[in-house]
Amino acid sequence: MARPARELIRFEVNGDWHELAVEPRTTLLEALRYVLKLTGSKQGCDKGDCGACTVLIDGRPQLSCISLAMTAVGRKITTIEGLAEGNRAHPVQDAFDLCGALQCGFCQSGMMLSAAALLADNPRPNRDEIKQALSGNLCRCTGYTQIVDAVEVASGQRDVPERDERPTTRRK
Amino acid sequence: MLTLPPFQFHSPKSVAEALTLLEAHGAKAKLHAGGTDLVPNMKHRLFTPEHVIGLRDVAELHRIGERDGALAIGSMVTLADLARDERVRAIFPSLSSAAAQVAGPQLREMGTLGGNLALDTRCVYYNQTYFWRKALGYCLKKDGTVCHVVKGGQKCVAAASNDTAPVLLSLGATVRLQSPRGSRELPLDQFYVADGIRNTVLEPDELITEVRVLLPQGRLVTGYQKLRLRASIDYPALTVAVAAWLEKDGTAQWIRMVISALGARPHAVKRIEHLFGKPLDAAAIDELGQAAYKQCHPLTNINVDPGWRRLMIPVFVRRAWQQALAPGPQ
Amino acid sequence: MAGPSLQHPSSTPPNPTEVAQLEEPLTPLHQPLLHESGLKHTSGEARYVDDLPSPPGMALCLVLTSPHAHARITRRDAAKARAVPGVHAILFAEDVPGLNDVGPVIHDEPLFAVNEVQFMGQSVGVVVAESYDACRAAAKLVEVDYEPLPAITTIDQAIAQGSWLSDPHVMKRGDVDAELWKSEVKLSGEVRTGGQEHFYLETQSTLALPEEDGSVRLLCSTQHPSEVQAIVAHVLHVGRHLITVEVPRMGGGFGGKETQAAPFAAMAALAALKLKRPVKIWLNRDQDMAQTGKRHPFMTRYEAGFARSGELKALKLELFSDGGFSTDLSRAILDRAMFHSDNAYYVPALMFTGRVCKTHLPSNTAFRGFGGPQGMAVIEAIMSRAAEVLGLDPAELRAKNFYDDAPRNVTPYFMEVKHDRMPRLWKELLASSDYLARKSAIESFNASHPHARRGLAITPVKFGISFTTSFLNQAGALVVMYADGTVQLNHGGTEMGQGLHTKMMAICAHELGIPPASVRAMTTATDKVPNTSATAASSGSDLNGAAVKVACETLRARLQPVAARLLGVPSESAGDILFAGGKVFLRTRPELALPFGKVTQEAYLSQVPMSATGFYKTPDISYDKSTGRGKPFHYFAYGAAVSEVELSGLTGEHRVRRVDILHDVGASLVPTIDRGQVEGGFIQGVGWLTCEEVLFDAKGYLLTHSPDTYKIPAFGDAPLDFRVQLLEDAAQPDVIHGSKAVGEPPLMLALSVVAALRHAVTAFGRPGAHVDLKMPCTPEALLNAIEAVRSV
Repeated sequence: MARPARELIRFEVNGDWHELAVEPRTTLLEALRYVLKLTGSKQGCDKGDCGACTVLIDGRPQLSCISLAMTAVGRKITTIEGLAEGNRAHPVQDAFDLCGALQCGFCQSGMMLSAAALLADNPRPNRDEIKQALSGNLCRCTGYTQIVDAVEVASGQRDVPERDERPTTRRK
Repeated sequence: MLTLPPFQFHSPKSVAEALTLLEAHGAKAKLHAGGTDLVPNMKHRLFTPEHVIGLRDVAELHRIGERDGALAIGSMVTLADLARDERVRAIFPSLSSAAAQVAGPQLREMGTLGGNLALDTRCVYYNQTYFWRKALGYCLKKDGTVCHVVKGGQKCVAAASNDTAPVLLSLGATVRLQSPRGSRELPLDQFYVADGIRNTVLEPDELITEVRVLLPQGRLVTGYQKLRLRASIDYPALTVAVAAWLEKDGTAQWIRMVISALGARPHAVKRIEHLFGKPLDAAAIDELGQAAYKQCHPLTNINVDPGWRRLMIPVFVRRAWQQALAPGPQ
Repeated sequence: MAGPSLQHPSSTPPNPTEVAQLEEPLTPLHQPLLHESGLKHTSGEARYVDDLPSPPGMALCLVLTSPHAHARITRRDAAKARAVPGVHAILFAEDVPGLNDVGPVIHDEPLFAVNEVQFMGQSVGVVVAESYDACRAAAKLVEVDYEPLPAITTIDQAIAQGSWLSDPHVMKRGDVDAELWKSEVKLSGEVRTGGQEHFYLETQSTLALPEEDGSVRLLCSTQHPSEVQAIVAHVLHVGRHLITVEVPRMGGGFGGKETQAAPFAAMAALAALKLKRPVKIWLNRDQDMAQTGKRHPFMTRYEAGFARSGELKALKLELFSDGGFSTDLSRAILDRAMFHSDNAYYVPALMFTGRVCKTHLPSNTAFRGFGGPQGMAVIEAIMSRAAEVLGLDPAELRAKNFYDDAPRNVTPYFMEVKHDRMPRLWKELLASSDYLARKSAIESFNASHPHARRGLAITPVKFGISFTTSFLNQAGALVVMYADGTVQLNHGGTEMGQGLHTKMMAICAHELGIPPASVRAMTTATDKVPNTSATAASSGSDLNGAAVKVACETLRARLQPVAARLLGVPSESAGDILFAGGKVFLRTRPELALPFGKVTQEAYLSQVPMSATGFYKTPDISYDKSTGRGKPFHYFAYGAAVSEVELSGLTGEHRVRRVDILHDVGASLVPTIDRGQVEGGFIQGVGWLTCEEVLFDAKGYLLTHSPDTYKIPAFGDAPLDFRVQLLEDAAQPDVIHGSKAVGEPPLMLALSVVAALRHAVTAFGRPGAHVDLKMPCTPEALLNAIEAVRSV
């Protein structure tokens, strides 16, 4: 069929409203990565089976690689680039770093957004709840245990390893 | 990267508007509920609709409520919301449990009840990219004439993999379908047909608007068990949904049991009426397991050994009944 | 959690005034240290190849691949496809100016198939266009006619038809047949291990940028930039000096980007040079899984002779690996499987024979362990079976066969085992895991539970460290200092998440006595350090770390006279000047310390060269394959794991309840990084052995082509209770700062889960019943094994 015209859509990403012209078939991940240049959300499998593309839509974790940008119209999207509040890191960001819950980093943004959504609902989850909430995100490097530890640290249920300089500020 | 084929996108605000679009585009259109099945299938070029009608903004389809002695669930209620709904959890725990076990958390936030009921069937030779299907010479379900699962098979054996279907069948649910031609309400067991290519009677211009489940008048017990290789982001290799109406003395006024994820249509286990009016004890449960085992024959439509899947039927039937009969809130 | 004083290498440097005294924590080495990319990953700013800004005019690629496992190409016509709007080029073998080959060791792997295709998914050509849509539209119009040929798709078919990729490799000691004949108990059988998909989260990707003078710069997700450079150069028929390969970072590698990044990089480079425009290639998941090789499946026939006491007397093995259609690294992988067929056990009389089979499947390749896991899986299956047959405790039987004092200290390839940590490690782990008490608790559980059984097992790992192709054991570094005292660190290793850069920064910071935050690890690039070896064989830290140290020593020696002058110390005492805590001072006068930056500033003004290279080669290693003798390894890494499982007799499903690991990483360079390697490697091994199954149908059609059909472990598959300890007081002589390699060995600790599952299976039957448990231990395989012991 003939290529349908681009449509002008508006949604909020990380606190800012964006207006962009996209083909209707554009996925939310494509719009984020290639139009808005927010490359923190990754494409791992392209079909909703690995969780690397997870973003929050109205606070709920969803898969941007199989979401149409059109269905995000008018909604509030949070990507890894918007997880910190201004200069203040989200507790999940610090905790993942401090606990060594990261290696290659490719699953990281999706994993942390799932964790952030969990803590917004349930500030003190137990280990089973953490595993359940993050079960839609695959990691090939860490073996998961340190990730569960990190979410416990982020929720204040496990001690933060002491150190001189904590990464509590980050570039926006 | 797998891009989507081009299409026009519509976002109607009401059922009436959606029906007008369906009337205009009919077979050239696909409905988009959560998109978790449709979008990957479009990336694989299993569907290349000219129009995609997104139902997200149809507010009337997002409601859950009691009406006329039934629980009415809008087709756009997400699986996550269904799983979180206190009333559903209290009255129909098996439905809540099934919704909570679909795929992974993100997919449940996106996927809807209507989408789950209308889910396309799956097969290892079908859910592939265009290149791989072409390399294989296509198959019965899409573009081809041979079945790679059953040599010489003339009937597609792709499997249903929706969790809510067997449960709602066991609960005797009905679905309301609307089209520009009118509206009809079907018992769910008339909604599914034993054809892997299209396993529902849903017409191209028809829309599932609502699912209705009669509220129980007495003691309803339900259970749902699912076999899969990995506890998340995995398709079921077998599902068992059970429901029974128990009298005060523990006898079952009726029993329903549905086995799915094996073939195109969820299978309501037959010839169990002789157990009605009798206590649902261990012997009865064994008999139910054997009945299910005898009536079900898994195929190699997914990468899980069919022999093992069959052996698991009585085990999962027993687990489902144990769950249903366990004391206290489930 | 890790102890106090975690430092982030890129955090703000400590205030120089606070760090004058010379104390242990002043060095970042052997301390918990955060991952160098941690902040970048958690903020989303870390850039992988596809995250780099698209240069103007960039074209994209789609690989044209074979739809048959084996076929003759009878016709090719891309005329219609070339006419598709937006298509820049469609390239085939005839468009390759140089050598149409990407085989890393042997030239038996065409970049583009010429007359024949040898696996389904083999590259035939590549479409280069302005968009993926144009690529796809054109690909549909490319006409290639094939005449299908019979395909070999299993090891058994290859053996039956004599289809090989190597001559037999033989290791031999004593008269194995006579010893087998004399043995009190003889066991024989066959052990098979399956393939494993790497499933790095980031698929293969390269961005090729044409530059001046016909040169090309490649930004490539590869573990082996120098080899990509070499292959691209010979494909393009240019000198290597015209090709620069840079690795921004990798989203996982695990061996899958050692040789197999090169073909795709070569396609992008070829197109970029031809079209004079930037070209990106990025495989989608299905293509990546179908086109690239996996861990080698192995089939091994064994005959083992034991004394009734449990002592292994003789072992005869015939190993067959499935190499796929081309050689790739298959021979070295088979060698390593044979080098690890003894695991930690002394084998008095033996004959090991190994051969690589050629099949019409993707070319199997390096995967964490590199044959080691496949070799160890066999001997561990034999040990489990011997214990079952002899009615001995498997832990005792294993310990009885460990390497020991001479003459029981010589491997099957005649290398002496020195610094054997196993007896100590075994004893410590048995105690810390409470093995004996838990074993008896499990016996009572098993006696009372209606349908579940638990199993407990401890297994050892002894893993040889070094590339077994000896010349590869070399590395280089380039350390660049600026006048302000900050440092750029270049070394030959690549970062795929394993924390190599973190370790290298720690070594560099330690040597120069500066905070890690003053050191920046640069992206790995062939124009900084040439002729590097792959970041593989667990050797990244050992080799590159030693090279970094050498470079820093050179710089320190140049700075000492400068500092001596500033401190007013006689020049003959310059050698006593130390570098620590960001300060430079005379050993005997630490209170008169200069800031490091002041010394570098003065060095610049004094016209002292501020950059240095370092080079390291592993001493004293060699192996003669014709005699099966030598010292292929610099040393051995050790570890052991105790795993407890619960197995359902109704379904064959299991849970890993608890895992205790004690692993020997020497004096850990960075314990937090090493712990991550141990945990991650273990789970990857558990995946290979329990849930990951690579399936092809009879025609060579990959049935597990994406994560919806191929299941790597998820959150629910991690052990419920996971306790990892690093062996203490274990510094290794002659290795960088006493450390030991850690990348691969922990993967094989997962064999303890298989041994524990066997234990649980035996509990369903009579003692001594023969357990026939296939790997991967899927629920189907486990239930079959349970049914078999029950029916005895």
